Amino acid sequence: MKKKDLMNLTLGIITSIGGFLEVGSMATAATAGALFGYKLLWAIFFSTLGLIFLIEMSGRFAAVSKRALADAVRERFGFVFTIVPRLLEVLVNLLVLAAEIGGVCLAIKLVTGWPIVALAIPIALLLWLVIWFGTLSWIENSTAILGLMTIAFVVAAWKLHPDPHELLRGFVPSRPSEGAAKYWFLAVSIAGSTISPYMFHFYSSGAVEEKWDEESLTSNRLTAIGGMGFGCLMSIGVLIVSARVFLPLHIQVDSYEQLAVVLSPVLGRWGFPLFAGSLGVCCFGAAAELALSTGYLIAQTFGWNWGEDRRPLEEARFSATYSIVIVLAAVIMTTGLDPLKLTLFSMALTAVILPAVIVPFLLLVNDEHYVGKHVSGWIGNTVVVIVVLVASVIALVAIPLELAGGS
Amino acid sequence: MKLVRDVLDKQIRGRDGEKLGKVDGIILELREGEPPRVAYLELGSATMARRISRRLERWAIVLNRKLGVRRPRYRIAFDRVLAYEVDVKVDIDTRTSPAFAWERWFRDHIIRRIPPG
Amino acid sequence: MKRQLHLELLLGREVFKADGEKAGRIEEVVAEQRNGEWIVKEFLIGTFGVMERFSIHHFGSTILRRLGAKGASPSAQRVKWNDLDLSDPDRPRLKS
Repeated sequence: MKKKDLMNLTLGIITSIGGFLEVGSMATAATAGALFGYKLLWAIFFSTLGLIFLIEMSGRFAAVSKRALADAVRERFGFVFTIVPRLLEVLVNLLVLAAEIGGVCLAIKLVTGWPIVALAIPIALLLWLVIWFGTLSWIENSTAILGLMTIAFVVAAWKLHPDPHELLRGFVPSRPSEGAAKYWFLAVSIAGSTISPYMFHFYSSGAVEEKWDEESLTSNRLTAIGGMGFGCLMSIGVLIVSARVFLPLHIQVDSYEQLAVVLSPVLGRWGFPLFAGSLGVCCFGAAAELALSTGYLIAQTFGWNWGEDRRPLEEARFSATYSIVIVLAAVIMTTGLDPLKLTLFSMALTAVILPAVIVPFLLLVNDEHYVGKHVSGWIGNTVVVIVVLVASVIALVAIPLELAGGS
Repeated sequence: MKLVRDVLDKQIRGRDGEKLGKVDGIILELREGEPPRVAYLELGSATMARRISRRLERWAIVLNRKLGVRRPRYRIAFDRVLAYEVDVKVDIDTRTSPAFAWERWFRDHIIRRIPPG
Repeated sequence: MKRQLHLELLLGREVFKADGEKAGRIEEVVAEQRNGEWIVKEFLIGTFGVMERFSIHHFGSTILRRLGAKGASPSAQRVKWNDLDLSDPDRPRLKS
């Protein structure tokens, strides 16, 4: 493997750690395991499948057309069409960013006992400093290395010896015997936490910034499968551990504090710090990715300079934008909103807006004017359309049910 | 050249490669008995807002006037277009262009004041 | 007398035939270079044609156009610049 390929793989793994295994995936997978055992494994599997295709498409699109996704959507479909989905996306990003900052605060709270409301501002400041002074590759590499900590979940899952037959059954969609509303709500939350639109913007902007070309296509494919596969495996690990630990005890998980002890029965005294560490690193990575991604989205809508590797002085509006976004998200967290509820809700909301983001994107990666002969194959197109449509339809039904009957 | 596909809503870059904005509008000049001339590219918040509604355009104009940093719309003569491939490249010095006024404002009034800007 | 017209506002405008019937919407403006100037050669007027019915890609683009997206349909009709009367830009008319 060439050095450039390796670098691309790092971008994939960071996109995966920051975008896949973050507070959303951890919360949804753990809650799903605790309530329904292995029954929702299929939701992780199918959304990952959709995600792999979508990540591959956004990398390929950027490499061949030399355009970041948000730039291309405005160019191809025009300002009028673009503005509403953009606004929705920025709004959802803001909620998810708040949830991620909440996740970092929570990781610290678990260890120190300090309240989230007091931690939100200092954590946001730290996040801002990292983005302001850091370079893309520095942020990528440190998150990727620290994120390897999450392997703890797979190790724990392995040590718990899950029944392979029962596991495999979980990959086939089935109806729950009870709690149907919660079940479907969790299924779409899993889809929303896995297929996050900000990941495509982050990944395609990174690919443009690192000047990918047609030679990058093979490594792009490997990265999509490897990086997202890695994230998927970790999520499955979380679900299995949670199912094995919580389900037999009939514990209704409704706060992060309960989730925190999930690793302890298996990994002993290392369990708790590893959980807090994984949560903190993943959420921090995701928060960095979200703040940048929202900056890219806005800068690419209006045509400003952007890029994580330029100095803030050379891209004043872009830098100001992500700074404001971080402040707003921190303010949301200081209101004392319950971070677990905020997370689950914003993940389901992501699933609702998915079609508005994915449909234009699909048309672009199938447009010869932009990608020449590198248009998408029918398998990828079909998988993406089915996953996205099913997720958003279930979301539209499940969210009102959850809000009406749920907690 | 297909004006909608190849020019409108594309990224504009100046001579120096800096990003100046997007092609928010294109001005055609109608002439008696002759084909319309493609006269200007237009960019700015008022041009963008007008594409959504007249009311939004009025708000953009008032807001720009109050803030006094940049004109609500700004035109680039079409014969300054050097290339239109991935981006529309124009023969304009970005750093002194009025279209870059907000970028300069943010740089000088906010970013530069943040240590160690 | 020279009159100026915003191309971006012309997009999606309904075009009427001489008899008042709808001909389609303005989707694209084609320009060419002549004596160092760019001039408008023709307009593309789109309808929901056969191509749009049988290709998912084109069908999808058509739906998005209804939601305000720009872009030209493959079955769009070419109209020479002097066959389109733009004296009232809110109501463009075909001359013949």
